[in-house]
Amino acid sequence: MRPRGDLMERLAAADPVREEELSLAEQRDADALLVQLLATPARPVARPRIRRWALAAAGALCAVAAVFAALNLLDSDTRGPGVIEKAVAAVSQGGVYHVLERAQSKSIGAGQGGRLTSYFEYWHTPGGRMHRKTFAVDGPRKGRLLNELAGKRRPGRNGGPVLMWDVRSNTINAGGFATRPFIRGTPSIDSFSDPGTQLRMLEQQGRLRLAGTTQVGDRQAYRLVSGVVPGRVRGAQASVEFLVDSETYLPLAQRQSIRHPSGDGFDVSTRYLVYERLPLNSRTREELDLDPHPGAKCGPSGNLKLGPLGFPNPCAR
Amino acid sequence: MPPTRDERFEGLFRENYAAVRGYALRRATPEAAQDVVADTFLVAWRRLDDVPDDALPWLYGVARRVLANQRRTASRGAALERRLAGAGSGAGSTLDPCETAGEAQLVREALGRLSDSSREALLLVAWDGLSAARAARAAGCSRATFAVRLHRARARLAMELAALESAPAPNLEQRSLEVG
Repeated sequence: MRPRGDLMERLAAADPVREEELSLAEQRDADALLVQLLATPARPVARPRIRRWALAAAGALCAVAAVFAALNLLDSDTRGPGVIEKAVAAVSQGGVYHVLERAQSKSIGAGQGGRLTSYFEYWHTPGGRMHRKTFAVDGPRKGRLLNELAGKRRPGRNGGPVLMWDVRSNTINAGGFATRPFIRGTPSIDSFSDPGTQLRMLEQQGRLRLAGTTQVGDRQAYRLVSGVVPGRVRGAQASVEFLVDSETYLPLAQRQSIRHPSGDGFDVSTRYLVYERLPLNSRTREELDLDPHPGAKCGPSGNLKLGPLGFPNPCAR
Repeated sequence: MPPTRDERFEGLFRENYAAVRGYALRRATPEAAQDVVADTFLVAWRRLDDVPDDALPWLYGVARRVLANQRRTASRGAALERRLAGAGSGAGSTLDPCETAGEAQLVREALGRLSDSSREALLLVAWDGLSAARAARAAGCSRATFAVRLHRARARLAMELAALESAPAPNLEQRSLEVG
C-alpha cells in the first residue's frame, strides 16, 4: 500500500533536496562565489567609444606582436607538443605524488574584494586517489591544520566520493569531488583538483599550448597556457597557466585568472614548494588515507553509502 | 557606523545562499543550478539597493527568471523533467525506503504533468517552505491570484496522482519474458 495522507505532505516528502547545512565542499564553493561577486563591478562600466583608426592600429600592433612571438618560439629550443606531452607524463606516472603548495588569491580592479592565502599539503595518484590537508596561514591558528579530505575520483570522470574532516567541529562528513568547474569549459578553477588531473584534462581538451620559457626562483620553466574560456559568472572569461620545470617537467607554479568584461576579476597564484614523485609502498599508501581522528564525530552525511574511497570509511555502519 | 555595501551583500549572501541553492537544485540539474545561483546573486549584487528586507522571495523571483532564460534552449528544457523523475527523496522517513522512493517518484511524475505555473506554485509552498504571501511575491503575482493558482494546482495534482495510482502496474515478469 502506498502511504496516503495530506496532498501537501506527500508533496513535501518527495522533495529531492535535503535541508541541511552546507558541507565543507559546498561552503568552499559558496565562499569562492562570494569573493568573485564582490570583485565584480556593482554597475557595468560604460565602455569608451573606440574609433576605427584606433582599432586598426591595435590590430596592426597585435599582428606585429604575434610575428615576434612566433619568431621567438621558433628560435627557442622548445618543441610544443613534446613539452606538453612530457609535462603531462611527468604527473601521470605510477607511485604517489607529494605536493606542498601556497595559493594566493586576490581581486583585481574596482571591486575591492578580499585577499586570501592558503597553504596545502597533499598526496595524489594518477589513478584518482587524493588526500589533502589545509593549514592556517595567519590568525591565531597559524600553521595549524584546518581541515582534511581524502577520497577517490571515479576512473575517467571528475566526480567521486570524498570524506572531509573539519578540525573546528571534529566532524567527518561525506561529499564529492567538484564536477562543476568544467561545465562551461573553465579550466581548473577547482579547489579539489590536483595539478596532475588539471594538466591531463586541459591536454585532453586541447587547451594547452607552449608559450615560451620563464624563470621560477632559480629554476628555468616552460610556460603552458590555456586559451581563454567562459568563466562561471556570465560574461566572464577564465584562463590558466602552468609553469613546469625545464628538466623534470613537474609543475613549479600555476596562475589562474578570471576577468569580467570591465577588466575587473580574480587571480589565483599557486607556488608548488614541493612536487615530488614517491614510490608506492606501505608508508606512502597510508598517506593517501584520511588520518585517524580518535573521537571525531560522524556528520549526517558521513555514514552514507559511498563509492570506493580507497580506504575504509570510519563512519560506515 | 552603517555597514558598507560589501558587508550588506555578504550578509544577504550568507543568509540566503543555501535556500537559493536549494531552490535551483529542485528545478534544474546540479550543473545548471550552480549557474542559476551565480547569476541570481550577480543580479542581487548589482541591484542591492532594490532588494527588499524580506529578500528570499525576491531572490526566488530572480532565480525563476534566470531559470526561464536557461530553459529557452531545448536541451535544458528537459532538465526539470529529468530532475523530477530522477533520484529518490533524501528526506528522512520512518517508512520503508523502497515504498518511500516509489511514492516520491510517483509524486514527482505527477508534478511533471502540471503546467509550469501550477508546478511553481506548489513547489514554492511545499518544497521551498514559503508562506502563501511570500510565495506570491516570489511568483510575481498578487496574493489573491496566487491563492487561486495554488488551489487549482492542488486539485490538478490530486487528479494526476489519482490517475497514476489507478494505472495498472507493469507486469515485469511478462516484460522480461518478452525481451528474453
